Amino acid sequence: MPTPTLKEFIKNRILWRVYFIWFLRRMLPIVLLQIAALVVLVKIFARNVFVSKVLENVVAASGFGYGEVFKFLLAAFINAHFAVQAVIVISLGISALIIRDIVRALLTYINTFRERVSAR
Amino acid sequence: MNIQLPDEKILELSFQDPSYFTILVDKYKDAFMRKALGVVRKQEEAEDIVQETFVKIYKYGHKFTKQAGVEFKSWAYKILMNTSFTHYQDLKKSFANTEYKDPMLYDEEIQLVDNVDIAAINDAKNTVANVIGKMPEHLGRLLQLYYLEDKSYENICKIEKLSVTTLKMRLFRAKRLFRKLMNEQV
Repeated sequence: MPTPTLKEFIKNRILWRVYFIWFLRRMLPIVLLQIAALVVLVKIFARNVFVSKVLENVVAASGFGYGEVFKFLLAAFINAHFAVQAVIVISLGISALIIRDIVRALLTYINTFRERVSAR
Repeated sequence: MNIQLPDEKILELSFQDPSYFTILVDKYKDAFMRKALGVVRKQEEAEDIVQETFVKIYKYGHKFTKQAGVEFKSWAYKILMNTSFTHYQDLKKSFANTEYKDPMLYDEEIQLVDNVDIAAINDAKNTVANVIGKMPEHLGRLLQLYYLEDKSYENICKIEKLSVTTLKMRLFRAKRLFRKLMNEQV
């Protein structure tokens, strides 16, 4: 009688479920918290900044090239209230964290299904 | 695969990075399959059991703490056996709910073989209960708690007010006596 072995697709199913548990435990709460914080910050930003006017000015500045758009955005940022500046900086920071976590989740997914050569 | 880390460490690492869990799956998958097949005797059922076992190991792995005499391997095998028996009980229930078909009309050789196995396991259970009944009470109780009620060393020590070393010694003696009585009975 041949030695019973576990089929490859069963192994992949196990690893998929393990990955899912890891994602639910480690990534989802963090990402949800970050998204919630970002939503609150965006609301504060929208309450304090007339976004459509800023966009109109961006469109007007875009006629003179990307450099002018950048200069305009920088000037708008510098002249904004401190609270708005803080909201923008924190929002960018949280966005970067969200992107980092999504990339981490994707890389972990790829690594989980790739043969690990050695445990260091 | 070049595996140098102990299993406990690999499990711990897999909580940070689940790709490490592949090492444990590769290491134990075939041994688990053989063990599960020993209980259910069907490839598909055994695959389900092994799958469930690995998921449980990962899910409840944070509860595993290395104690003296309790290795990851024995903990993992205990989960495998518990899962196998639970699965087996479910199978038995589903057989009980299945309408009986006359073998003269339906060619169900495989199911008949399974029914024979179930009867054999029921007989074995009765024999085990008989043998435990013949053992000194304190030893029989330990076997019952550890093997039939799946209590951990820690819990049994609390219930019986024993140290782990004494418990292990008594379990060893109980197993030896059980084997002897079993042989006499057979």
